[in-house]
Amino acid sequence: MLERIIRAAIHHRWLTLVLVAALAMLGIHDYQRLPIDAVPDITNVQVQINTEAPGFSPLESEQRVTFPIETALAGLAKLDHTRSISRYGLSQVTAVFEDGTDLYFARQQVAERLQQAKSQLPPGLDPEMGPVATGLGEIFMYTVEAKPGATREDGQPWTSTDLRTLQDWVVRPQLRNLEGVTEVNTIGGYVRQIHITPDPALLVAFDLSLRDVMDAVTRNNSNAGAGYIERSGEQYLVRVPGQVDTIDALRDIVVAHRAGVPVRLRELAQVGEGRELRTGAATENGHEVVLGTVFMLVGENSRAVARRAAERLAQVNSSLPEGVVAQTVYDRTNLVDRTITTVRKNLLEGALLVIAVLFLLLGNLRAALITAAVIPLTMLMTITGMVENRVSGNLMSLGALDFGLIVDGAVIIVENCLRRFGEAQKNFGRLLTRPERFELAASATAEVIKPSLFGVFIITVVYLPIFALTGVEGKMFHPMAFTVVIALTAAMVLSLTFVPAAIALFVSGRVAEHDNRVIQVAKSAYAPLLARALSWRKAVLTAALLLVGGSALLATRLGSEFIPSLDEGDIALHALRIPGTGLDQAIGMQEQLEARIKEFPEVDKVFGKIGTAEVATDPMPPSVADTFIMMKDRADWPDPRKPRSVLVEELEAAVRTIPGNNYEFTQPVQMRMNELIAGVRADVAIKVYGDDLEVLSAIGEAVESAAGQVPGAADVKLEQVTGLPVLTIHPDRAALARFGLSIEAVQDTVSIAIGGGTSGQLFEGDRRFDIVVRLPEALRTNLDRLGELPIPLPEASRPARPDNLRPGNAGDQAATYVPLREVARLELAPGPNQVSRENGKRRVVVTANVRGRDLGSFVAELRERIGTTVEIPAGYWVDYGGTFEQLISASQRLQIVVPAALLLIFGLLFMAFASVRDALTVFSGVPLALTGGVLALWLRDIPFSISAGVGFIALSGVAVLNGVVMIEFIRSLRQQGTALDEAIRQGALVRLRPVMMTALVASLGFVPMAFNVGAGAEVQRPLATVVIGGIVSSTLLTLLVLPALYRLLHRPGESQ
Amino acid sequence: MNTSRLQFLGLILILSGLMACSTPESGHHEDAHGHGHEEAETEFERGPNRGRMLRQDDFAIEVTIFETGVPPQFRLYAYVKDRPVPATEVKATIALGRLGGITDTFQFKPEGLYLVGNATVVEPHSFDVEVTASHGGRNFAWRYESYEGRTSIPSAIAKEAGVTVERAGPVMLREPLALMGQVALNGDRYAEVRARFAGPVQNVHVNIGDSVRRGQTLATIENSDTLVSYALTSPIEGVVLARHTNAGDVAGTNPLFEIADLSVLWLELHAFGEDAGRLRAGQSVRLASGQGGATTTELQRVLPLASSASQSVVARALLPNPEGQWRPGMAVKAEVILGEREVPLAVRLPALQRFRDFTVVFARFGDTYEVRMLELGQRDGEFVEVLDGLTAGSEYVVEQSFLIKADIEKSGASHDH
Repeated sequence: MLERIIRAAIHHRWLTLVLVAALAMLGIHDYQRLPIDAVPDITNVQVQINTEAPGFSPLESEQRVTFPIETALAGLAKLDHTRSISRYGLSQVTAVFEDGTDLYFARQQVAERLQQAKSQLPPGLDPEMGPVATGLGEIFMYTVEAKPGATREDGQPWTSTDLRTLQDWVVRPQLRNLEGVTEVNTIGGYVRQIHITPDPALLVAFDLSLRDVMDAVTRNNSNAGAGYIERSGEQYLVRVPGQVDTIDALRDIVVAHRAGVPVRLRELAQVGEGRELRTGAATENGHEVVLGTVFMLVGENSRAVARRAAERLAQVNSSLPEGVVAQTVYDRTNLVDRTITTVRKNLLEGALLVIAVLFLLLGNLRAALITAAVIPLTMLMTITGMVENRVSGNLMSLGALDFGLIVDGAVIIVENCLRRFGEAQKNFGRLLTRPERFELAASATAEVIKPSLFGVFIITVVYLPIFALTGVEGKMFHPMAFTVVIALTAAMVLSLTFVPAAIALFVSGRVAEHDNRVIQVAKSAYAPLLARALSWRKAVLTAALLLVGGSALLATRLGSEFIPSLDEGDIALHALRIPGTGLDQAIGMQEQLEARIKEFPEVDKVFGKIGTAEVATDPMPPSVADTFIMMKDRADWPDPRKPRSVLVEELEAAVRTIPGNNYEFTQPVQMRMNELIAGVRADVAIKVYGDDLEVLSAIGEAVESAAGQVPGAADVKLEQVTGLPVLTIHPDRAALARFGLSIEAVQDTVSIAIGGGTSGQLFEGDRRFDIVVRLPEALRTNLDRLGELPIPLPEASRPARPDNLRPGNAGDQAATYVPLREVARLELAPGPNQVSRENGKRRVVVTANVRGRDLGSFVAELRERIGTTVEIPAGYWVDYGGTFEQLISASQRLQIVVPAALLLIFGLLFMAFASVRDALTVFSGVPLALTGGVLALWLRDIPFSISAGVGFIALSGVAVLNGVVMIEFIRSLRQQGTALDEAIRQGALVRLRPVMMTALVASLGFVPMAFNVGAGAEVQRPLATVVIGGIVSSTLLTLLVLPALYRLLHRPGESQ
Repeated sequence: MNTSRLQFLGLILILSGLMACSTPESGHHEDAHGHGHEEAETEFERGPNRGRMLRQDDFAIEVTIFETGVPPQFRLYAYVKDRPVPATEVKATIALGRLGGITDTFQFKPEGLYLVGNATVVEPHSFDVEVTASHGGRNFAWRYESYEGRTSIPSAIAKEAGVTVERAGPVMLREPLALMGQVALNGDRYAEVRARFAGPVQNVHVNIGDSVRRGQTLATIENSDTLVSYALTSPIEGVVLARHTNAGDVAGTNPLFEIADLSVLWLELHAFGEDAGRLRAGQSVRLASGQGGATTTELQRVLPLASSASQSVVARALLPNPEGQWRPGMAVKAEVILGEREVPLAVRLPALQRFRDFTVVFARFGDTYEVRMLELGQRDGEFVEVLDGLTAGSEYVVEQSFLIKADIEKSGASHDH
């Protein structure tokens, strides 16, 4: 079959070449469409539903918003779970769907359910779905700020309200409709509002309530349409405008008539621009700014979108008033470019090294070029495959490609063809004719196609276990495994078709039969070594065994990490303050922090997001700030070679001196990913479900202390759910009854007075601003005076107002109000900070990590201890989750898949050789190869990680490939009747060249990767190190141990 | 020979399998980046009663602070070779060195299984502890630090953050009560002028708004009985507020003029509930009108009746009005000073913070700040009286006291002994 394909390819050689060229063109075309990013997207399929509930405390927003929404979502198709948090003024429900669910399908379903849920929500609340973006979505951030000293036209400095207005009405609209942008989120500054702040004493004097003021404004600020009139064949539209268009007009609104005199708004209230009650703020380099974040649509090319956003932002600047600038502060393009540059550089240098080696060892330029041509062709075909299968190009997917490995199959074929060409030319004593060449190319290819396909096939098979990984690990490594498999398949197809066709066509010149210099030298060195190994075979084997044992021991001593994290270059820093910290306090603390960070000469700029942005993609309380530290180019550092870890340590030491903050260092993309996949990224999460928050919190504490006593427990933490100071105004029902007041009257007055009541909007062209009625700031914020807030008495219980001022009737001069403290009790106490729910039930979480102990037994003991020591009342239950579930299920799966893969390889080998002994002999190359990898890691002091693991996987493939090539030849020699010892000797010597070549190209291809220091190099370094080390050992061992082992397992007399 | 070969190969197979297996399980101790707080807890050995174990040779003392149902007190348990020793055999003292150079010394006497201290361990439980004990002729001594609610901030950074301190000391406390009310006519300086004898009004001499002197003729009226004209004069000096008559009118018993002296007015304030009971004549009143005028006066009396509708009581004050800027009918806000007294120790209100179940201030000692649990008395708009918990003359943080609290609580400080 294989031979038929090869012959067909040689026969239709031009067609083959044209087809390959066409595929290459397609690859070039697809390269433009390949989504490129720095890291793979590990976000799960999720839909966020944010509902802004102004003024709702955590409990109310849970009870009245979160609960109905969660209930509505229950039972959606492919829904995995829901979780929610309810905070002050915000309810966020996250629906997580099963992996592989189409995001738009999920959103469609959620949208339908939200329609149903809306009727159950308090009026005026509008649940909205979060942007169609993943953890990689925050690709571009910019600030809108005034230049130092710049002033507005009226000579006043720009306020943060002005900047926010410009962001909302000038910058954002221009960016929002860019291709590939799904949302532009704003944080910082104040949304402009028109505030009407009546003096309570004047309200009392005029006998008006806050509600009266709101009603008056609403009644006097709207346009009305009145249909049309037809007159003399013409149609007139009729309208009655009444909208207020200036603040002055607003002041003239008549609120009431007193003794025939109109009382205007200006007489009882200040009217002017005011500050909204915001939930978040932004800072840069120690001062407040307005910050915009551009979200990329799922599946777009982040580099292209970020670049588009940057270009548009430059244009936007020309539409901003003099003195105000919009500046890029974070651009994903930088990271992606840096990473891709690293990958490209590694691939290019690797490819060049490979070509050089090929030329050196083959001694034939044309053949070397044909082999080298496989590299770009494979690359282009891989890109097509990636685009078709929606795999994005990133450090993990492209980074694992090693062209040395890819061309291995081609190398073996080319080498064999050349050898046979040389022999034939020597035999005939002339150049070959075309048919001879074709025939020879076909048979020479067919001769080695099996081992080379085998090698490729085996490498593919060893990648299979990676597909068994699920969850975050799966998302991280599937693209890589997928890409490698595509690349290997492409290379396999090319070796079958393109390579023989091209050799037949182009290698027409004289081919040296003799090995070139390099090989001769190698051979002369190798021959005596081989002889010695064969005669001392037992000693050699014992030594190999000791080596394997030794490195197995060494392997257990290597440190380990999950995956080396990509150095994004920039640093993200969570600044955590105690719950209950106010926004202004947090801004002050953040400014001090940023000023300190900015003192570092390596820091270009530092900016922060405090609290929650307009679109609550990341709902944080004001006590938490995401701080982004943007680094200068390394070249501009005082010490360009300073390692990142040292810098982070210095930063940490510096910021520790700033009081009141706790810190967590991470990186921008990593931080966002963690926020999204979140909730719980600890090894073990003990979730307590139930109804009463206080009971839950008590059980949580009990669980925390029980978990802390289990040996191996580390970082045991109870999720902080309380600590938000809440001022509760309890209405006194008896007092209310006395005054004939309703509870609503009290609530209404307090909520308008403190929180503000919106009554319509003020339109300025396209811009519109809410008109808000609330108390003057000085009174509003004075807690001690809150009790004096006058509550108007209802008409019925109000005495007739005396119409003259005669003295002596003071008894009749009853007040028309009562102060708040007469009808309500004010209480200041800590309340719930947030309410977390999962799958429709309240829950608290205790998280723990496990150190120095296996997860399974830890969880078992934990369950037992909690079962016996923590009393859990009826209606409450405990559930266990966390990454341990994934790890356990992953390792269970791997326990099946890894042996299965090994068995499969063995089966393949057995198929090839039809001999258990030979198959085992080849197989023995695997552990021998691994020794070098372990040694290399140890020498370079690199911990064991999944990246390194992938290296070991690739290594097993190469080792088997080498073994197959050699054993295959020895066997064919023996079949031709050569004696065992002679066959081994001759086979090993003849196969020295291909073994050396495959080894050299595979390892040299990785050399740039192993020593590069550019962005992203830390992810690739372990892989490359393992492969290089492993191949060196594997080659040496293949050349020496394999023949010895083969000799040991076969007796000279036996038949094949 | 053959079997050993196969065993060898089997070993290789297993090894390679193991190496592949170990790959994905390794290194799952990735940092969890939640928005949580790090807990930094100093570790020490805990004894059977959850107290701190102090060991020397085979002798051990367990120090606990017991505060369930009683004021916090030291209780010591003694052990030899981890076996309890009767409390009567042990003698012990504890000296607590607190910030500000204060040392509390405790003597112990046996009580049941333990030794109990002779005094209350006052809050905050933050001190350098020195324990001495003797048992069976041997003497032991230990020292350790047990801090809570304490932090250090270099002064430059504290200054940059806006931390300010003040010395706690005596303060004049005023107790204010905010009330709303109206300016009213003074009943003592108001007159309704009627005709003494009925008859037609012949002349009217004054108009609304005219100032009149006492005795000034307001109108001339003819007595219907005697047909003699007489002058109707003003009984007081004041301003004509109303004129209910004109020439030709027949004066009867209705008032013809309303005259009021506006130089002293009444201020009528509405007081509610308990507040009303605390008002007394003589309390000073500061008032401000919506139009911007302001002045001070004092309460004259609280009227006897309460309004049935609003349950409010009217408190009245005289309001001198020499310039005439106060007009009857104006709505005013007023602040009545209910009491005024000098307290020996008070702190500013912005200095107060919540800390666990206490209201606290943070005292400064050099660069070190420590919590001071306070027992508070009266407060006014600026200061609050301190009854206990702070020594006079201590420096305490006023501005940015929240920052100190944040710094102390950020590491999850626990109340633990």
